[in-house]
Amino acid sequence: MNSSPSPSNPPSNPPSPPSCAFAFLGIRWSKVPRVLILHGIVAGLMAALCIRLFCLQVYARQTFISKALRQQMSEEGIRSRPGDLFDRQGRLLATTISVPSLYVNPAAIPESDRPHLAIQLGAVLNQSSEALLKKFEEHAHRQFLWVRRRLTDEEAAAVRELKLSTRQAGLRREFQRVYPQGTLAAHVLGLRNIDGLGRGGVEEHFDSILRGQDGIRRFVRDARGYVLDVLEEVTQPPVDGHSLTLTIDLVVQMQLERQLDAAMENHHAKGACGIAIDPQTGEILALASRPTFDPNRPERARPEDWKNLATAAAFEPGSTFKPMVVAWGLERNLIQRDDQFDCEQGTYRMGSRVLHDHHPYGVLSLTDVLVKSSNIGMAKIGERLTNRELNELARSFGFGTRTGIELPGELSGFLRPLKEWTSYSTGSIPMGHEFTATPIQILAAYAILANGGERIAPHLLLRKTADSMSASPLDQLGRSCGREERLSLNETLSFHEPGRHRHDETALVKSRILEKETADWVVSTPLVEVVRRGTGRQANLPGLAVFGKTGTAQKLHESGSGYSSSRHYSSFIGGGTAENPRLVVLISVDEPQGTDQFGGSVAAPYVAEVLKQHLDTRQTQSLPEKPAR
Amino acid sequence: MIVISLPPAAKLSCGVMFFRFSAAIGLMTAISLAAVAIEKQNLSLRRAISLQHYQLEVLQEQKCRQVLETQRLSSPVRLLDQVQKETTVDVPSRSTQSR
Repeated sequence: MNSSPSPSNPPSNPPSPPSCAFAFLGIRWSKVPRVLILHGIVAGLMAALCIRLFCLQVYARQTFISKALRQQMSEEGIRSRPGDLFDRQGRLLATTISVPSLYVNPAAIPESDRPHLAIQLGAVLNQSSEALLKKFEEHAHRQFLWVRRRLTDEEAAAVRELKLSTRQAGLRREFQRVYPQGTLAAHVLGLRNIDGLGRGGVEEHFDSILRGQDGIRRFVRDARGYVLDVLEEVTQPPVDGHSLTLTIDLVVQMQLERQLDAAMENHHAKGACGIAIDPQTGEILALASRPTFDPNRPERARPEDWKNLATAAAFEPGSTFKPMVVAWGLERNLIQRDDQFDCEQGTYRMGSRVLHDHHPYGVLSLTDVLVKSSNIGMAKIGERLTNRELNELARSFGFGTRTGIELPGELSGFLRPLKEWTSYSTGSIPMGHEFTATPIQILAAYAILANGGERIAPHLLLRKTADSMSASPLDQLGRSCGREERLSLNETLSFHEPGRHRHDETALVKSRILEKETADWVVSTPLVEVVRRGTGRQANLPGLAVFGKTGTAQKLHESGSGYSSSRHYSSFIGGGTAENPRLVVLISVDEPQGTDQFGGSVAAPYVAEVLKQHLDTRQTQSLPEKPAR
Repeated sequence: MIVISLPPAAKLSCGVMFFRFSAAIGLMTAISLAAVAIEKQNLSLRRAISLQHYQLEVLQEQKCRQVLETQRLSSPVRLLDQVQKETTVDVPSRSTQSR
């Protein structure tokens, strides 16, 4: 039986056209199990999913981890509290308090609410609401915007009264530097700017020590930005800055600044500066410059107020350099104490150059050359020394190099190399011309004479105190309560016993420049005579052996060509007492007005006043010891 | 109604199982309660520490402000100005007496 259909008998049920996807392959639908297809699709999907997961979990792992952390975690810096500054007696010079600052989140403030918020804040802060609104609209996309930093307590209370949404505005506490002594020692201290960075003075020089190290606090936030948890275990606590005790004595500083103000007022000067140093230790007891500024209100300062003339102004020292030349000549046996110098009645031809004295003098002793401040006498000493010795003496006394005082912007002065010196220099250098020096360099050179011939770097740091946050709160309280007493006790001792309580960081480095005998003779004979009967008579204090030297340097013309006959830099450097010098004071007055512009008239009386007050204080301090003896 | 009567051994085993089950539940509950208590204690201690830190900051701030005020009041400029003013006031009376 043949079951196959014959061509003549077409099949009754012709095959339906294939309707499945595999028809084009010639595979019949009935031959592909549906389950298998389904399995294939699922397996394919699973494979795709696995590949995608692999990509996400392995290749893009770090990207997504960091994205997730960014969304969930947020960091906030914790500012460290800067250390305090004290004077040598433990009086507070600079401290830090915490004050609130107002910020807003403009992105979270609906556009319709902005005018209302601006009006509210404007009324509370006494600020233009239009300006505030403009500020909000300009920064509408930002999530943080300072409205006003460092509010007063009253302003902060008024802002709190508004009960603003914490999403839209808030108060954040910031540190503010406060200088309780006002303008006193402003150029020594400098200030901290609104971001807490030291600018000028010791604030800048010791910024890394004073500032401490900021900490970090990490939060976990939800999708809306609310804090869920503070991660204590990964928070880095801030390390507060160290406090510093300076060598400054606030009472001497105040006396010096009052004298500078008086000099400025009486002589209508352009500027002035003053420095007081303990020559035995190199400790700066006072340093001031005029014009000055109030570090509590830096926005009121004029550009010229920032300049510290004591370290950042170089001028020709003039006659103040003469004692160093005499001391060096004696040290090298090129001149003798009993030498006589013919001052040629005020006119002396030195090569192609004619030198003049202010007054005509005949033959003067070595002492009188300094007492009368004779330029011709000094030129003759210069001829004996020669350029090589003059150059060596200038460098040995520290001219041409910075003293290293802990103040930014100190100038090194200008001292040309020896090969550039000419025969002109032999006459000019002994008179204090042809090179420039800063007041601190000149004072440091006088400290060498006053302490018996040893060169000591002038410095401002007395000691660094312990980190205030390293101890427990009780220890801190105990330490801070005891500190005042300990400091004053130490300081009384260190005042009389130099260097006894000196911290390692400020260990003294001394180098001998002159023999003690030579230095002592220069101080106790010519420099004392200068004050008794010479150009520095106005600094004479009855009963006290004060020594000193005047200096009146002509300033260059503003055009830079030649010296001006009307613009002077008048100085006086004085110290006391000649037997045991414990204080040397320099006052320089820039462009004093009036007929008499000599250092002996413009600066000497003010130096004498500082010396008188300080030496009186020292005598009063030592009074209780006398009965015991 | 079909009554299934278990043999005494099976009854005992069921009781033991029930006891074990209850004990396990009870133990888990106790552990959970203890964990909750410890967590609460932990949280309250953290709150206390946080509060102490805050109080310390407040005290430090107060101390700073008081030291600042003390130093302002006792600054040499202020004291000497006052002394000088008093001296200036006293001088005429003294000179009058001396005359």
